[in-house]
Amino acid sequence: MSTTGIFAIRGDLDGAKELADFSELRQFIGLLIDGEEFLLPIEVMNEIIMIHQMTFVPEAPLHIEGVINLRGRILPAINLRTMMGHSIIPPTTQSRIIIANHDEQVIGLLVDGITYVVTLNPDQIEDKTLGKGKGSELLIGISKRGEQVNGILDIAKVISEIESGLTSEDDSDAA
Amino acid sequence: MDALSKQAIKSLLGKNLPGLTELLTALESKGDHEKVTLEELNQLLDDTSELLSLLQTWAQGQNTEDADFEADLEDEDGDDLLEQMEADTGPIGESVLEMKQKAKKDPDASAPSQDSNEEDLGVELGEEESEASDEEAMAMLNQEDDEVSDDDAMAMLNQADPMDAANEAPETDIPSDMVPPIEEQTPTAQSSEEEIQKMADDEEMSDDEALALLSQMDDPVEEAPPAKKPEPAEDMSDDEALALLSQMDEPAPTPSPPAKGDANEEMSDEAAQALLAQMDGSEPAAEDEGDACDDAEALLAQLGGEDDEEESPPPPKAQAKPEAPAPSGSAHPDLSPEDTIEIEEWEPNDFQTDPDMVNDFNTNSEEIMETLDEQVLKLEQDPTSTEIIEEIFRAAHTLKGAAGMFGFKGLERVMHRMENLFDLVRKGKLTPTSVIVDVMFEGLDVVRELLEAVKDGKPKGLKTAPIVMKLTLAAKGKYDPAESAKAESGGGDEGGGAEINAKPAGGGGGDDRPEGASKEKKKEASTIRVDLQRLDALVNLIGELVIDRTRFVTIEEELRTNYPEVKLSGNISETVQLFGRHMNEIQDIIMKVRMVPIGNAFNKYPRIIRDLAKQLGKQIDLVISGESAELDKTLVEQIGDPLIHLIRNSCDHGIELPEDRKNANKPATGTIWLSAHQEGNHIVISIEDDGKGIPHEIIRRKAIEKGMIAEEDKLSKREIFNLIFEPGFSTAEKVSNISGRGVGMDVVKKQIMKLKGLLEVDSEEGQGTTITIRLPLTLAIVQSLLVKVKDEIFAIPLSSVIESIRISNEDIQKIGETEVIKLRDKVLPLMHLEDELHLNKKTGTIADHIMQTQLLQKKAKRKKVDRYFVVVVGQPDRPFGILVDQLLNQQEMVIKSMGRLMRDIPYMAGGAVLGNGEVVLVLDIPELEEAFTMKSRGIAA
Repeated sequence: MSTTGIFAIRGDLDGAKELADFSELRQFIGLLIDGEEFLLPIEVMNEIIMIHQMTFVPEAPLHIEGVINLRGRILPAINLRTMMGHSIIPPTTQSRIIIANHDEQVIGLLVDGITYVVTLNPDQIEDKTLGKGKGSELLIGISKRGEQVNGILDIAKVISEIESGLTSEDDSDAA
Repeated sequence: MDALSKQAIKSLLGKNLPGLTELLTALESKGDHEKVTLEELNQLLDDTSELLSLLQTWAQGQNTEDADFEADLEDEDGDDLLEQMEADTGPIGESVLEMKQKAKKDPDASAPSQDSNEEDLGVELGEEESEASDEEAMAMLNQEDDEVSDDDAMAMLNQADPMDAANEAPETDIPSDMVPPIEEQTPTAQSSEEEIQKMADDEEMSDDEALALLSQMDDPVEEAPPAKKPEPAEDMSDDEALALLSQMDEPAPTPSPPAKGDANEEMSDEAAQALLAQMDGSEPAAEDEGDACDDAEALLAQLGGEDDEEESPPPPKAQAKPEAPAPSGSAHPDLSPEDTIEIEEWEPNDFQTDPDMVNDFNTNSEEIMETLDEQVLKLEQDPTSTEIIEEIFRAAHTLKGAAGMFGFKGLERVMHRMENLFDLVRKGKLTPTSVIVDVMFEGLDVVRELLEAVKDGKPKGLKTAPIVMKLTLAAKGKYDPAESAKAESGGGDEGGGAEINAKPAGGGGGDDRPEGASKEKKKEASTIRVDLQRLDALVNLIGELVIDRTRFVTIEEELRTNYPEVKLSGNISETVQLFGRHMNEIQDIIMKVRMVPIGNAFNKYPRIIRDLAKQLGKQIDLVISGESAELDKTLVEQIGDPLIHLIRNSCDHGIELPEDRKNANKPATGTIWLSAHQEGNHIVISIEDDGKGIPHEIIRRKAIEKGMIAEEDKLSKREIFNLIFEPGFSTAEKVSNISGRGVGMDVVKKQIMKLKGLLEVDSEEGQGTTITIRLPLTLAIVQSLLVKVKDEIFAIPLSSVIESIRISNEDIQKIGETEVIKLRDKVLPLMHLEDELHLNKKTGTIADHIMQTQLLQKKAKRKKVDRYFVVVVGQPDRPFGILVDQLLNQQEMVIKSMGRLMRDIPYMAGGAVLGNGEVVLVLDIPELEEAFTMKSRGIAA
């Protein structure tokens, strides 16, 4: 009896520990840009859609492909590929648009493909960003899963990058 | 029946009636769905039956002839009244019984609410209840008026009111040491007006109340004796005699209504005295006015107003030395202590924390403030109109009552003084001179600030004493604007009309009131207040439905053309058509629902102009016309600010000073015409003044100086005037005689552009300036023409389209760099949309990538095209053509924002979803036009 009691307590403790760990786990969606996998925190993502009709917007900010219709809502679509400095390619069957939201803004992110949902615990995430590689200014950190290292995208940085292009363009217009 | 027992009855009656009223009010204010506690009903029933028996006793007493009584109350009327009251109270008792039975059946349900009910009805009534009770009592009594003659109503009210105040006395915690000072004072009291007033001043009572009280007394000398007459039979002392005079303002230390027995005895004398005084004083006044209701209302209003003073008694110091006019250091001898002290702006209560209630309060108070602003202004122009002052008074009274209920003490206090001021005007005892109106406006400004605080949800700690002092002085005709900071030219004693001698008021007052009331009722019945959010949600949904409809049409077309063999297609076609028709109707209606008269935006301008004119020392008339023209509510809301800016400019820089105007052979009073009218799908608002105009040469030179235009540029006058809307045109450096003309004008223009409007200036030097604004009627759903340019589809709002024509290559001629065509003997400049939008370079996008790869095949095709379509757009007098490859069709669409990232896309008004789910961009024609004219001008140079 006493042993089971102890075990029970141990079990409980383990459960509590697991629970605590679980709350710190974070989920990410893996996406492909030019063959490289990046992670995007899952909480900023609303849904993933196929690419269909996209309307070109003249004089739109750099990297904005155009606007899409998401069930009656018109959203800008941002080409993450070009933003990270890769060449333009026509969309393939693998291409998707991730609908993401940040600060009440909803945007579409055009990516070359989607991998899968990744669950990471805190010690697999590092806040620092590595080097000055392509698109590294859009990252908030890196993830390490064994040998695999991936950049974690920051949606806020993506948006502010576009906006900064917007204002600098405006300035050049005004001048 | 001897005088004593008569008085006793009177006092008992007086004590019970308000208690009953209060209960009834409390019941009423709980609404239908809330449970009434058993206790309350019991009390109500008790009070009702007591009242009934009292009335019977009194009726008997009434029949025994009594000389004193005859003087006060005419026999017949009194009898009528009593009968009526008996008749009226009967049903009350019955219904109360009924309610009680209901409540008994449902004791559990009533239990939970009991706590709060008790709070509401407890001895320490919160000010909101007492306030409400006064109003409700009035409402209740007014209802009875329908059946009873005016005089009866008067008498009834007179009985109820002072007692009401007396009953509320216990709430106020007034220390019992209050009595001695009154006693001391008594010997000095003479039966003269001045003395009474002085006493009033010295007491807690406010001046204006004293005034009102006095003014109700036809002959103060006659009035005084009963007050001072010693009553040996009872333990009545001098202070009780005095209580009569101060009854209105100074609640005697009486017990709470539920308390009976000994307390009753004590109280009865004072109460009786007060009653007598009231009857003596007010009845003749009522006769003068020929309108008992009015007077009764005023009386109630005063009583209502007192509550706040009772609840915020001045420091004991002030009470201890009643002879000293204003111990708290007031500079003016006419001010009583409570005029000069500060009170808490808010007194927390349950209503304040109920967001729904506060919302209601905010909307109502906004409306009231609009009414007040508007009507006070009218009052200044037409000081004799009873209708106007009645409306003002009603509005002020409502606001005061509501403020009291919510515990917004500061607001209530100011409103109370304002109301007193209005009341004096209403009674013809105060002439609304411009000085008085100024004070009223000042008061309204303070009220507005206080209301802002309510909107913000927390008290701002605003000082109300200064304005209260001003209002009080104004009410006494002793307001001297020179003393205040506001520089005023008019003499201070103009307002001396506030003589205490009761002037017989115009008999018209009685006739106007019911008319106004019925008008208001009609208005209420025909409109319904809807939450704007709900309405917006509805409009959005209908917008979606419109898109669905176009989808259905697309599907139906496809079905009809591709599968004619399907039997159902005919049915579907019919249904789709019908659906379309209904949708159109719904759309029309919902758009109309959102439409409000532009007059709503215009309302506040007379006030602004008046203030500005005073400030600038100018004489300006504002003539408003076409305020009934309707447009979308959001537009009305958003056009307000730019309009104010333009009007201010007209006042400030357009209209000259009176001397200058005389020198220029113009009337000293300048005029600004503000008008609105509908032109097709647009509303045209124009602001015209007969001021000095804009010197266009100076603007031109300035623009050249700034490098905005070249010396050799040949600009039309209109183009020159448009320069003032350029950002930074006159903000940085000011040209001496047009200084300020352009300050913020670019902001105005931007705002108007945002509303898809157009702004235009025309000015004749020395003659005046006209600014015209063209706005679309609505922004939500627009008819648009779909065009194709370089494989891209764009929508052009039909409201901007004049016509569309087909031309061939040969029709295009060149003037300089600009391509033009001749359209019915007029030259029409052409715009290549693809160039304007740089459609040939979609740099850095997939679309560009694809285009590059396909370019070779397409080029061959495009070369052959030599026929174009031209969509003629712009303003009717200055059209220009947009060259497009193809005209598609016409469609209704809902313009949507494309998100924050896309909000600054040039030339685009937004996006819209087509029937096939595709997004189409809607062109912003005014913006395109501007860019085009700027460019063509550059080319011309």
